[in-house]
Amino acid sequence: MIEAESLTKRYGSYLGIEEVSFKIEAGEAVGLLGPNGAGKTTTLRILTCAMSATSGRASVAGYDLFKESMQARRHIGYLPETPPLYPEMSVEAYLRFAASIKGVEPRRIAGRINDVVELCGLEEMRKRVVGHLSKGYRQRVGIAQALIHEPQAVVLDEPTSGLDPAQIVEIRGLIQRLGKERTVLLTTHILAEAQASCGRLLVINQGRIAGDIRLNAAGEAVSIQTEKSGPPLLSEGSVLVAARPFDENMEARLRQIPGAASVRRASKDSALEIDELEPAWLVEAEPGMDIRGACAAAVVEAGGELLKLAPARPSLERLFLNLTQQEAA
Amino acid sequence: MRRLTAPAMAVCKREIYSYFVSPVAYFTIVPFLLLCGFFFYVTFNYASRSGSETAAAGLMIGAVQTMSVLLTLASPLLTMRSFAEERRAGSMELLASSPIRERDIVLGKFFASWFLVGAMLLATAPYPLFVSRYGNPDAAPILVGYLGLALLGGCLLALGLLISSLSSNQIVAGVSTLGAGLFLWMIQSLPPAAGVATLYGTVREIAVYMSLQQHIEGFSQGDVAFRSLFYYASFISVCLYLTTISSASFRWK
Repeated sequence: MIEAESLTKRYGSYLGIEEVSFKIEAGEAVGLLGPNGAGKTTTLRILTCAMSATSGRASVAGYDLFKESMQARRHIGYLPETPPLYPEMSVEAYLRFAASIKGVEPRRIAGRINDVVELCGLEEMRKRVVGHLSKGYRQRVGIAQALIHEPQAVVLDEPTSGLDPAQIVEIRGLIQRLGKERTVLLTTHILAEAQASCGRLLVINQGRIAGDIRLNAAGEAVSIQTEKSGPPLLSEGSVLVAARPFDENMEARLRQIPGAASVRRASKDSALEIDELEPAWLVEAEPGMDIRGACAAAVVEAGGELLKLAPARPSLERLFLNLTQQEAA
Repeated sequence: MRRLTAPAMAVCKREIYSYFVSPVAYFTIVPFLLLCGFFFYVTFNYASRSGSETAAAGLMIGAVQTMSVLLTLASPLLTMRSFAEERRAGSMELLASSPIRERDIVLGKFFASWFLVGAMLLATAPYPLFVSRYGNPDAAPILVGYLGLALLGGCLLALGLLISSLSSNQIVAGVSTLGAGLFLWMIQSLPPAAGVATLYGTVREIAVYMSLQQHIEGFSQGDVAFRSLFYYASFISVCLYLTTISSASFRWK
């Protein structure tokens, strides 16, 4: 649905983003995560045609952003960091304007306005002047605008920044509803936010994609790819095993388990959620293998005590810090 | 002029809507009409005292020329916001990410502001009607004079749009437009050259031709000169074309 290939943007001598490549499938909800100034907004602005790239190519819904820009723009909805509103207009007049410049057929405009007003919870604000609305409502008007032409992909830049907690919850709910029908790409620098709304995180740091993390329904990382497109760092089904005795012998036994791709001592910098006091092995599973039973059996057969057997879940915070700090060093 | 496309029409309508829900339109139209009325009263009063036949004929010539100066002062108010404010407020990103061509944005904005100038000029219609009640002026010079004013307004607005598209500060855009408009008015007053074929003489001739307001004189006397029409049309086209480029440069930054 959204593809970026070696996108680079230079602002004079300053590098905005460099060689950014990724591919987002239809129906995915992806969070573009990174520290301030990492290039999140630059990436989004290029993907929405609000800015040109210095080099590279990108496409949305199969349309090349630079060669078939007009078609591509029909399939993408964009909420910039500051909602692009005209404060003197009423909500309804504003949405009507947005619909007509986005190419919605005139006879369908009224219906589309009703749809997005309902979806974004703006029923009571329809006749109000945009400039008089609270920040949360302005944000909703901004989202309504991004959806008015039924785009296949929706791109949201910091959709919850500057909102109060209740508004954040509402906007997140709205984003989750969107994610069920459309491809969503949003930026944030708040990890919890990305975890709540997205199934996949792209970590961007200093203008480069530093990592590509897939999350499960519970918001836990299940696979990680780093910048150098190597194999996933942690496959789904990997487990943490703590056992006594914690020695070479036991490690060798674990290595022999069918389906175990690798065994290593879990360390703090492997970005896992581990009990720091307790030494443990990280046993990576081959894709699709459930090795939990085999691990338990191996420890017991070797005459050891199994102290802990848990799914290996990298801590997102640690992962994020690792990905963004390594780059800085 | 080609018909506006649907997105250009949408931009045009939105601009007109904004002119009237924000005070801009009223703050421009009301002083313009008050000043027109004042100058009209002064010249009418003067003409009626002198009581000559030619004074009545000259009345509208003077009025058209006065209005050309007032338009120079008023038009920056209509265009200073157009692009500058969109950039500052971030609404430019809505336009930039929508399937609308740069040309349509520029034309939409241009015609909206031109519509307003048209409305302003139309609102001065009572003055010539008043004159024709008491005298017997020719209709042709008055109509041609208004045509000239409308074209002059178009030029000033196109210039204003161009300047607004170069800035993200509406005050800077407004003041620069006013300065440019006044400059184009004043260059016609360069004193004539002494000799026959001096370099200065050529420069002066070009400068006088370049003066937007100078061409109004001909129109106010009912004289539609091709060179004036040509100049106005080219001035508008070039300014709008440059605005399109400058507005597209939003993406390159």
